[in-house]
Amino acid sequence: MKSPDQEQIKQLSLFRDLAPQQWSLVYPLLNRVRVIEAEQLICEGDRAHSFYIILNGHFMIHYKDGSAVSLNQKGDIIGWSSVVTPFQYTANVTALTDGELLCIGGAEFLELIQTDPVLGTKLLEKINESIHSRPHIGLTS
Amino acid sequence: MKGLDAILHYEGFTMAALGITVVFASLVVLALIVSQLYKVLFLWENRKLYYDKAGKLISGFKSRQPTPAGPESEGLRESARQFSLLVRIMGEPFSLPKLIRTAEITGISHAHCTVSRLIAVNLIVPDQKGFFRWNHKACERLLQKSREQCAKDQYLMAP
Repeated sequence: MKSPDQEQIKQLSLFRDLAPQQWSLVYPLLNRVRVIEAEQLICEGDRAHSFYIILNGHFMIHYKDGSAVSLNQKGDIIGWSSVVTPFQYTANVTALTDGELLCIGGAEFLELIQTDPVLGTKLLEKINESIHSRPHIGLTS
Repeated sequence: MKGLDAILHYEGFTMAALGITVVFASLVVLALIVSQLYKVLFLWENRKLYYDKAGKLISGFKSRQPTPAGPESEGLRESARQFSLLVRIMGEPFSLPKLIRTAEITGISHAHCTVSRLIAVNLIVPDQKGFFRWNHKACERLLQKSREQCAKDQYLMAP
């Protein structure tokens, strides 16, 4: 599958409403990450250093009690624990297929929120929307 | 022979007219090329976008193709058979990570990818509480197709 370009990334629900000036602040923070089938992206209990946005691939968020949710929509967010205290992942995330994600460092993201609160609020609202559209099982990572 | 007579004799006027025509025609062609050059440059600058569009067109065309009854769908049926047995042993609703672990233990290769495929074709469906159920109806339909195909093949192969 072809990797999405900057314009396609801008069209993801998280970034769609950003003004060009705001987008120019966010885009440099995005790093592309490739994963392979069965790779564990996030371990429960680890320090939450980054969150991820799915570009392609199928991922499973799973908990100790055996419950799980699968995500494969472009723009779905994984690892939001990196932007909320206590900055610790609350679930495991495993790639069901090969895939590609955008990775944003939690610290850089929080710094951006502090320097531009309007942009921060916009992004956090979108993250909140994305999290709440999922089935409520455990504390979704 | 001199002067106009010589020019007329050697078709000088015709050659001059031909020369002018060739030069002007070339200039017109050149002007047309230059006037359309911005389109070529636009295409070149946005080549990524057009590659993507072409890719989408091709993938769209591919997705409209009917599902082949080839080795790929046979692979899916085989996976459906294997996982339906595992689910029967595990009981429902089942845990997805546990299903993958069990599949790996039993020696099913690419268990993660196979589960992803089974979710994509709605053979494994979420119960919205974090656990999953096996779609028996969809599985039966898939396996019925396989049995029909098998019976058809046997009929065709019969002497």
